[in-house]
Amino acid sequence: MESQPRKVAVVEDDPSMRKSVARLLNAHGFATEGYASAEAFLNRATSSEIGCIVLDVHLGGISGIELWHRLKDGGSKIKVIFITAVDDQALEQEAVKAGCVAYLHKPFPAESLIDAIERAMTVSPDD
Amino acid sequence: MARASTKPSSPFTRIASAFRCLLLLLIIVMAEPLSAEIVDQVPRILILYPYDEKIPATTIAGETLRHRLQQATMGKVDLFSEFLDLSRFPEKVHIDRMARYLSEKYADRRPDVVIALGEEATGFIVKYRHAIAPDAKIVFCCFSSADAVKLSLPSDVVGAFSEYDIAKTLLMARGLQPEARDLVIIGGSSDFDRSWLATARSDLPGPASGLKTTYVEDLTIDEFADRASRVPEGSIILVLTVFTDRSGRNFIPRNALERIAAKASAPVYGPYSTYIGHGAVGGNTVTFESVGTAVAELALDAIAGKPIASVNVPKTFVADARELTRWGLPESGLPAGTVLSFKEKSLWEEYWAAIIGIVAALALQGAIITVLLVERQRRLAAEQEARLRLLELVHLNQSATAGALSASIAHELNQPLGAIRSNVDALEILLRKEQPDLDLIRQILIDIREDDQRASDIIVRLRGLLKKRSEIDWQEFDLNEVVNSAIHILHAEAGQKSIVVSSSDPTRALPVRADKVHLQQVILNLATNAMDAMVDAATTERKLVFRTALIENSEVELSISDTGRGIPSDQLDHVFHAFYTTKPTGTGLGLSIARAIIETYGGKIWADNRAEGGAVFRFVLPLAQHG
Repeated sequence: MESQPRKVAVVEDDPSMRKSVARLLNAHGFATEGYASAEAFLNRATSSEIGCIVLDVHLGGISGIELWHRLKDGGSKIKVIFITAVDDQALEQEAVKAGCVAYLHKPFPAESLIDAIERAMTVSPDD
Repeated sequence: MARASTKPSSPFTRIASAFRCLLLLLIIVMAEPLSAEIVDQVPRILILYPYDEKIPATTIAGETLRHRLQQATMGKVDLFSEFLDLSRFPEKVHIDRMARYLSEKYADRRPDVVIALGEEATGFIVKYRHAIAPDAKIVFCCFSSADAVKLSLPSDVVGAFSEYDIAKTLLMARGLQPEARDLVIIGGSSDFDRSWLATARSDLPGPASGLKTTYVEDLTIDEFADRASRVPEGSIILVLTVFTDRSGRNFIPRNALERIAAKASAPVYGPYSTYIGHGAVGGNTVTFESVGTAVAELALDAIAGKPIASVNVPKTFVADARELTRWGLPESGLPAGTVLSFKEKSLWEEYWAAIIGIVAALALQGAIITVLLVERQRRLAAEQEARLRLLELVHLNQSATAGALSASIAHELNQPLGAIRSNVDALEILLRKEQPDLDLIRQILIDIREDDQRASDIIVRLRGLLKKRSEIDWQEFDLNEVVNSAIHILHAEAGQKSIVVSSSDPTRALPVRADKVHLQQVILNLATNAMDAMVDAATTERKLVFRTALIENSEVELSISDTGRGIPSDQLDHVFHAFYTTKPTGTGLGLSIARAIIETYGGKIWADNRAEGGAVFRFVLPLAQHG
């Protein structure tokens, strides 16, 4: 399993951001799947491969927070790393309290994202 | 009264007419003792002119006389005029025919008084009085007592004598020209002219007076003029009359004088008022006006039944101010009481009332203009002040908008910054590899450059939003362009609020003339209001729609519609008032500023509710005409 690249879903509506995060993760040896919206992620073909989600908080339509709630409500324990361009402390505290792996403010250094991904991956989604 | 008795009389009219008779009688008794004969009827006065109506002397005398008679009798006089034309028809057969004609003409209207103007008319009426006016008083005028003797008039025929005193005319000349040494006297060849020359010879003082006197006679009109042009300097020229010159040409004397005076090298004088205005400096004369008045008084006395006797018409000195000026003669040299004609009054004398009026009007105008200028200055200052205030207000409004949008702007800016950071970090890893994927690296660099540009664009728009104006930056631009830039600024905010922003595809450019930043501010105000309205109203669908259109090829319209709760219909007019707000944190200035801006650029702004729900704000601006 170690040799297999673990897949990270990147749900981000800004195309450039989505692309650059995917590149960064690829450079660090992670496979990625990009989704432009929460809806696109929910409608994806399969859910098995995803190790964790890098999720934008403010998505058009279903927001990142709501998507996480829906996943949790659906019984999923998938780890989430929030990324956001907006300062919203209430939202951040709520997200952290609810157990997100990290809450990163754009622009963020690669280490903090990779570090969060590593932490998310060490815990099995099945736990 | 005779007329009254011929009328069929009722008792009333009889009483009335009896009363009238009594009244009239009373008036007569109280008034001057008029003869009953004349009182019975309006007096008839026949005026006989010797020539035709074109001779100024008799015409002036006649008109004055008629006027005086009308005035004195209050119009109760019957005036008749006959022009005997004896000068052009001197034949006895004509005179007899004229007498017969007048006798028959006046058979039923015999004159009470006949006024004869001049010797010829007087001679005529004296000869034919029994046929024409048997019971009439005859009065005459316009000739001298010496001439009257020649006519051997009956004792009951009296008149107003015109006694000319040529010595007085010379007196006037010497008063004006005390240094004169030469006197030149000009007279024509007719009998009348020669009698004048004879009078002059007898009445004028001889060489003892210190004047070298020369009589110029028996010449043609041109010779007279020529002689007058060559008299010694400082001479006095005295023109008597020239009815006829040596060649037998006939003249109206004043026309003859005019020709002589035109060439004369010294001042010309003459004994007739008709010479005034035709080149004569002046003279002592009986004016035809005073003759007319004098003979009118005689006629009035005659009809009043008063005894009348011949009078001498008073003489006057007359002078022409223009001739005084022409010869440089002092007005002070004129005899006292001289009637000075053609005196050009000074502007002030002539038009003082008008001048005062004009000066007053100008002063008033000046005052009004000053007031208006001051008012204008104040208005301009006030307008300037108002414009500055507006600019200040717009700037505050801009800052407020920028503040409100700063979160979403920061968000928007963080996207490219975040992408750049991740790209750079990825790049760093890629470059550490032994065989870096150069194509990928190249692509990453391109993306970094694009994101950098994106961030830069956001900053530029933000700067536009914060730009402070000290004056309006007039530009012509496409309204669609400003709508797009506003949408860009709002985009992130709308995204956060789950509002779908859309705009109509512009069909054509919609040029307007305004300050771009100001219009953008209007759009931002309207749009943020709309977005707030949609967030407050828990609508499921949040749509913000921008639509631009060209109205009647003269105006440009922008409508911004939302799916909010709309505006209570009774408040549609109030929303643009300052401090009107429905938001707990609103200043209530956004829409009033929007209206002030739109009106500054000659447009109109208003609000409406949409039938399908939500509000729509519209504004129109004049379409900028190219060229």
